[in-house]
Amino acid sequence: MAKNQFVLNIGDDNVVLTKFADGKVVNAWLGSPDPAMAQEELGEALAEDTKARLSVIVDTLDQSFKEEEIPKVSILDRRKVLARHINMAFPGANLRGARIVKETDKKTLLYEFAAVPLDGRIPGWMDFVASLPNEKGGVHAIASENVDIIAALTPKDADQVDEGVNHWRHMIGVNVTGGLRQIIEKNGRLSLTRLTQAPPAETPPEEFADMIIRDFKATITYIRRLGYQVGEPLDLVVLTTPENKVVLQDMDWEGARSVSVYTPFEAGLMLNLGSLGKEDQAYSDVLHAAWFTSKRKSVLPLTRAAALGDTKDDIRELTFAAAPYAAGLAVAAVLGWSSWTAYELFDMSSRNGQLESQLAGLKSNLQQQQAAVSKLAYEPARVRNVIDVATTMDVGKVDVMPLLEGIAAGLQGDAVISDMKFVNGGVAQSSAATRTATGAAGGKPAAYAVDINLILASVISTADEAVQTARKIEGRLREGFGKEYTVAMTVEPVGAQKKEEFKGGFTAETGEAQAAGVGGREAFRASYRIERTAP
Amino acid sequence: MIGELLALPRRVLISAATLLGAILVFALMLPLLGGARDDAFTRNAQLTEEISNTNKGIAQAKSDIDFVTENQEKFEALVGGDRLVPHTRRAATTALEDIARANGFTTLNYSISAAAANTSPKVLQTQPQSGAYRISVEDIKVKVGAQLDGPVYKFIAAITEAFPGAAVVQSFTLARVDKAKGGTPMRDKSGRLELVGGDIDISWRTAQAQEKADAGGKK
Repeated sequence: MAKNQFVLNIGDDNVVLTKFADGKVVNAWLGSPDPAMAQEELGEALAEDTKARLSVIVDTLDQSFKEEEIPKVSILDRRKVLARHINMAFPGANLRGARIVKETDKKTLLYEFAAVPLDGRIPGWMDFVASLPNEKGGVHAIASENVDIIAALTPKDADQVDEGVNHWRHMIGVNVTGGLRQIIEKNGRLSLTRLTQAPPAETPPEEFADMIIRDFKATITYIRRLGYQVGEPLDLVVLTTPENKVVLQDMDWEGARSVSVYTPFEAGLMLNLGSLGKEDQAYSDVLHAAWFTSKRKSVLPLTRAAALGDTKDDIRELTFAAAPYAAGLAVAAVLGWSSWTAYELFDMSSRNGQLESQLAGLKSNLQQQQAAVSKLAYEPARVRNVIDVATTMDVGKVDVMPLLEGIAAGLQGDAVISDMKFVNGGVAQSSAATRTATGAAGGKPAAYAVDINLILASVISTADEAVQTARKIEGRLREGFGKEYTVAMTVEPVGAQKKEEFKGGFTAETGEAQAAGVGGREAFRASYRIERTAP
Repeated sequence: MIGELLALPRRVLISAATLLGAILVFALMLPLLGGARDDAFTRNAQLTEEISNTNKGIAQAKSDIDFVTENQEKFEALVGGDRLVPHTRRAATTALEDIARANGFTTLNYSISAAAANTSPKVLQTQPQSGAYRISVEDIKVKVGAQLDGPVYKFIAAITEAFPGAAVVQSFTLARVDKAKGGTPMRDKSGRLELVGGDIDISWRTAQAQEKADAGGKK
């Protein structure tokens, strides 16, 4: 499906609506300059494709252009500075636009500003365009969008211009929208545009030529104020009817280095724009519209907004500014990564070489050891198993004889054992005795614990003597068992103990005391606890 | 498109070209240089692991040689003796009675039962069953009576030193008849006084061979 596009040329005298399909001119409509008539005159044409993009080219008399340098500022501040400058350059209500021309040697930015005052019929046309459902292609000034058409139409075989010498190009054409439109560029940049009264259509060619020559000379006078000096190369392009062309080609164009006269139709063919309609067409409006649509992007869009540009511009500028650093970083990163990786590869390969030789030696050693193992009388695993089983069977075994000998040595005839309780902590780990022993041994499980109750020797007759003897026994036990054991006297030999009852009495018949106990007297008793903590 | 590219500032164009070149070089180097580096690292890890395993093998072989050399006599004694053979309860009771008689006990009562889980050391409970032997554990409870305490101590020492399999005394209590507390000594059938009584808990362990040694090859 063909992609349609409309271009609306707005002038002071008329408007021209041109329809394009796939970039080629399909049709063109002429309308009055009054926007109130627009819907009536152009509504039907625009309704052919309500989705087609609609762009506006302003071809009115009152449009201004200016080049201005703005100081070098941060990218993010540039739009604000630009808006301030263009507002100062074109105060009041305007459609405004700016484009960067170049960065100067002083690092300032040279901008081209354009403005079309929002007065007269322009606001009405803006409202009409805004009311349409079509995609909006923006508003543009005819001079800024068509300044580059001149270079495309001047002879390619013209002599090259010396460096430092200004090169001027000048185009003259008649537009039905406004009149005689002249666009002058200097060194490829828009220098001046003029709009004057066009000769009437029925003007004879000779008379038409005289009028054009006069306008050309007036323009030369004008551009002298802009730096033009006689003798500087100036290439002239004139667009007119076939009849006028014949006459104009024979005229003397003083000051012009070359003169190229085309009909708008010829110019369209020359610029590969296709057929622009009638071959004898006198007006260049459709040519300007076709040239505008042939470019992928417009040169200088105009806007009613107070600020120029958008975030996309900022991002682009930032990207441009960051590009060298990004490239430098990328190169540094690639170089760094490559160097480091190469170093690692070299280092690791060297280490691997050393490890290979080390492994070869170790394997040889292993073979020797394995050969020695195979010569053993018994298989190691079986020997280990048998020894382990024998060891496991003896787990928790306690040799009680040293324990008993130690107790006997501690008593030294001062007492005899009344009763004894031995608990092997290595086996009965969950027993109450072991838990008690664990507390006494500072958290380590006791290997075993022995509780002994002693009856002190019968020769001990006083409590004080019993206490002294019991303490001596405790000291001897402690000394005899050493640091691996904990020895504590749990019951001292004085007073009635818990669960102990001493009975006795007196009878008048015998007059003798009857008391239970050894030899009829109470024996002194003492208890001890001996614990051995696990190694 | 090309026209738009050429319209870019010269330094942006150069930067873009440099960036593109750097990316291309990296894309080329990544599989070549990076791949070679990764291979070297992988090989290094393999070699390190192989060396570690080889060292372990050498250490194990040396340990085996030393262990067999040091324990050969003990091993031969264990394998040739009756410590690591299964024993019946009859053997245990016979041993108990013999030792008791030798020490002149007035009373000996015993009972043998399967070991309670909470009285078995963990090392025995977790003893691997896949070796050449496995250990069976039983509890023996003995009640003794004697004229003096000395024979009881000798009895305990004797069963600790020589018993079918292995006997580990878990606990024992001995009590002398206390006249002061109103105790009265017992007499046995022969009229002997029994001044000492006690209870002894023994953990009895025996080993059972799981598989036979290779008679034709290494023992």
